[in-house]
Amino acid sequence: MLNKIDFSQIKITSYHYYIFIMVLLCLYYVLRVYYFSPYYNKDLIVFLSVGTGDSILIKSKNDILLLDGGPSSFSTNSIYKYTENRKPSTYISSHTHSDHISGLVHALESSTFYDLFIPMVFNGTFESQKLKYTYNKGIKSSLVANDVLHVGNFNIKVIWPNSNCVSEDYNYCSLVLLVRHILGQSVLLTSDSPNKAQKLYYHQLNDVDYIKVPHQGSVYSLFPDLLKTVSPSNAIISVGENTYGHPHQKVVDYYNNQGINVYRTDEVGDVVLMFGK
Amino acid sequence: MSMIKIPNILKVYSVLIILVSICVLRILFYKTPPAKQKDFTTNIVITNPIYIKDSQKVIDTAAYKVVSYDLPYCLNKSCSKNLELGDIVKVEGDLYYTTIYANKITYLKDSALKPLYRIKDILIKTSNQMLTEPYSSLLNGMLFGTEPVVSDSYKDLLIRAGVIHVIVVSGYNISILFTIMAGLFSRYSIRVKYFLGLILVIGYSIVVGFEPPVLRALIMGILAGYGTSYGRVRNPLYIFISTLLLILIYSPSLLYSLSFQLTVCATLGILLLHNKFSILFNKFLYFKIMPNVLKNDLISSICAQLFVIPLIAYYFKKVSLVGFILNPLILWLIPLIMFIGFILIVYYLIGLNYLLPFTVILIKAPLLLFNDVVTFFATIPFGQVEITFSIKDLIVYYFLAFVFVLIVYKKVKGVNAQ
Repeated sequence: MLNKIDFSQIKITSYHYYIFIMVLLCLYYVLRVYYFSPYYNKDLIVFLSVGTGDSILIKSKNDILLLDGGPSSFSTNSIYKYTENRKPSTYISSHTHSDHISGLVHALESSTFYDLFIPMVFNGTFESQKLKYTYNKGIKSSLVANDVLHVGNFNIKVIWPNSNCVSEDYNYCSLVLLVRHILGQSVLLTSDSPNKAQKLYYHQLNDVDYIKVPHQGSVYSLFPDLLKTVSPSNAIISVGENTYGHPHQKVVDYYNNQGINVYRTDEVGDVVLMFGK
Repeated sequence: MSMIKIPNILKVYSVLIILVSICVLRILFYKTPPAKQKDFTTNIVITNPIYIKDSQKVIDTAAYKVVSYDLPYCLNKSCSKNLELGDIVKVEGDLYYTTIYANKITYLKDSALKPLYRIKDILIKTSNQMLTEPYSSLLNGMLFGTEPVVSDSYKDLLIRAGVIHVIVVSGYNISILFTIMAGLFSRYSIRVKYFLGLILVIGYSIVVGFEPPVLRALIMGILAGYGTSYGRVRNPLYIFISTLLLILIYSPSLLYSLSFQLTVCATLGILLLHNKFSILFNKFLYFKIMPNVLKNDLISSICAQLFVIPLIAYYFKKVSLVGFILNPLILWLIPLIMFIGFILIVYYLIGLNYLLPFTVILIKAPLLLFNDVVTFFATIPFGQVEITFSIKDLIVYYFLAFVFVLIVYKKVKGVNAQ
């Protein structure tokens, strides 16, 4: 059979070159994104280094959840290296302050199919109204205490706010989530929760392994009783250059004195917690 | 009385002399606008999508960058409409060079070219939905010249690697578009091809905004295309000089624009040296066996960099050395990305998105390679060096450069077949 092919008759045209190049490029893509990626098929919680603000990625199996989106349209750009270029299937906004939702609005605009959980109260800013517009499109829901979400191997329980939470301080009703991995490790995500709100829910909590320091380490969010109750061994501060003085030195000292390891996103970049094998 | 026949070259020189005289007069009588001004008011057309950076809302246009802490946004029909591409807005605030720190932004009316901006908006949104970041930003930058919605550190990385010109709109995009147009309409006569191409490229230039490099490439393309389609001999250098003079007559302030200075230097370098360098380099065996695409990119890159580097050193005090190697290595990917990207956006737009997971890899793969190669080169130590140039150094450099060009012209004889 092979003898019948006359190789001298085969002409290599520029189309052949392009097809060959495209095949090579696709092969490179598959190897690079799936085979050589350290995050492929891993259960992750990533505290993104977005400057002063919050953006947290939770990924397990095929489920990807993005909690808040940082202060800029591009804040969430770096999530895709952890998700094999897949977009989140669930978005949550903890509250409507600009340093939490600016990136979320941009991410939502570029997504097609997703679940969106929005805060119960909105302020009048441009980005907050844009988020509300997305909510008006019909994909909506607000999370309240005791609601439970499942993201692959993670079980997420809503600790705060209560269904009747109302306050002029938008931080007061911001979402607090307890994330527990199937193998037992747990993370407390406190958003910008102030100490007056912490007083109301801390007694529901038990020991956790990691805590996201509330409100970029603001002194008004330091509530020692919460820390004594959850006694974390590691704390993450999501902070960047700012004029508010975040994180407050008193807060950093308090965590250090308690023997808690503190990781700051402005110092170490993205903080990646990998769970399971 | 017999007619005196004026030689063509004299005609060219007289046109150039007239243009130069008008240009000099225009520059002499031009009053430069203030660089800093409180309570500055102007009307602008929104040509790029609004984005948020550190909680500040940014409107980027060819003339100004408008930064504001809040923008109007309406949810119901009772208040005025939301801002979108193609709207003319009145901006009031403080001017600082080309950035306006706006206190108030008010919608005035739709611009006459709103339908074009609508198409741009739809295409950008489709690209954003199709791809993840930073790939969608890279593709949008290459295709529509939109300001990339990426972090400053990623932008720095592109600058360090010397490839930022690829994702901000430049003459390169226009030249690729001209080439693609010529390929698509190759069956038609040269004049039909020229006029069809012209309409599309002018439409494209309006949509991306008349940045100096776009204006330069567009006018050069128009003049060169006109010359070719009417059988006139074209000398690119004359076309280039006429283009510059026309642009400066229209807007003398561009003389002080870095973007304009860069495009002038890069184009001049390519026009003066590309041909001779091709002949020179083809004497080397390794170069002979190199594919033409890479060969052309390498020579263009070297020619442009030779003329651009001192300007970059003068303004930024840093020069990317890796850019010399990186540009020829990856520039061949750009037409491929632009072509496949555009086809896939249209493909997605007409509702074939259920096939997308299988097809989108065709665009993600070259973008990933571009991103990876750029990241690798940008992180090479000593890839970017600090060089400081004064005005005096600039004059000496360009004087030596022109002496070098003369030597090259004297030593290297012949015309490259390409």
